[in-house]
Amino acid sequence: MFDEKQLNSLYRYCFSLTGEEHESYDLLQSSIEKFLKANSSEVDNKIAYIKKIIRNHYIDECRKHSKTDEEQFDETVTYVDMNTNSLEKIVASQYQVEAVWQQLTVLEREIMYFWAVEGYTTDELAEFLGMPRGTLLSKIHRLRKRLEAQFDESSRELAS
Amino acid sequence: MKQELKNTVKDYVESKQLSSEQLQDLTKMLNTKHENKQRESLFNMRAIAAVLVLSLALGIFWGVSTINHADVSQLIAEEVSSNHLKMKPMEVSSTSLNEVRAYFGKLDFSLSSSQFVANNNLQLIGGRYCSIQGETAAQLRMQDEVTGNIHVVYQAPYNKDLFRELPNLQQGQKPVRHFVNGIGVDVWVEKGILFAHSFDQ
Repeated sequence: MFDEKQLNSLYRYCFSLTGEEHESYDLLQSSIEKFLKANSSEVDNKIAYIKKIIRNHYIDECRKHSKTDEEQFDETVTYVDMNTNSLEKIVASQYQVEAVWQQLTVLEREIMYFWAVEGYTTDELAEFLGMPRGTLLSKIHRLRKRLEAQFDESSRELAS
Repeated sequence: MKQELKNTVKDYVESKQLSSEQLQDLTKMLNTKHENKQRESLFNMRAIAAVLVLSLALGIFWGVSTINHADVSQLIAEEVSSNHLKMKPMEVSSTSLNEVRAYFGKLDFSLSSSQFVANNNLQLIGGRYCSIQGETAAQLRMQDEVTGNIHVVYQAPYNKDLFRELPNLQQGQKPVRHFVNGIGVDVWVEKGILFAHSFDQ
């Protein structure tokens, strides 16, 4: 049903949601159980289907445990230079990414994952997340600002 | 070492992978559930097959039962009309019922005269052995005294399990009449004997 490569890919997606390895495994395991319980034999794209299960399951778990870290959407921001290309101008070391990873919100990690690992375009990402494009662009804009600030800070820390 | 954020994130995320133990557990879970589903599917298929077989059996039983109850006189009529059209040679020729009765000594019942036949002005001319629905029967040839047409009257022991309910003259019922291949056939029970009467229309 899923080979080793696919299972690892799903695990990484879980990691983008939870930000933590043990929790990622638990999330993957329980999502696979849900997938198997569901009548999934006639599903064409099993990977896309289980990713939806993983995401919905994680959101449910977050709601249960009140782990909501949704950011307020800033309506005043202008959508200039806010697609995922804007993120490509940033440079960072693995140390910096690792340091910032858990400080990001779930949505920010998801955006990073689909942009960097899966190679999604902004439109594909908006469709998968079920989010209006404008909202997503705003999130990307805020993410970029946040990352730049974090990386500048960590660069300064390393330099001093 | 700094590089483009996209590559850094990709490298970082892809460095995360399931341990061999975790992979083994997940694979086992997937295979077990898959096998269970296959087993469940096989079970469902067997259940459906069983239901189909049962339905078929019930259908056949119902069909046979229906035939026995409703169409047994029709079956008799079809057999009798076929015999009537073949009109095989008589084995005994006589106008005396006693003589003809003597010829049919192998029967398990005694040939009887029928009120219904008597009412039709038919004269006995002979007969031969035959069978109706597997029961040994006497086939009596009669001739209409007015028209000269040949009529055939069959007599067989009335086996209720085989012939089911048929009109009984002694209970005031009238023979049931069928027409098969241009031959008229009356079927009834009288004095514990199954009678069938075939005639050209």
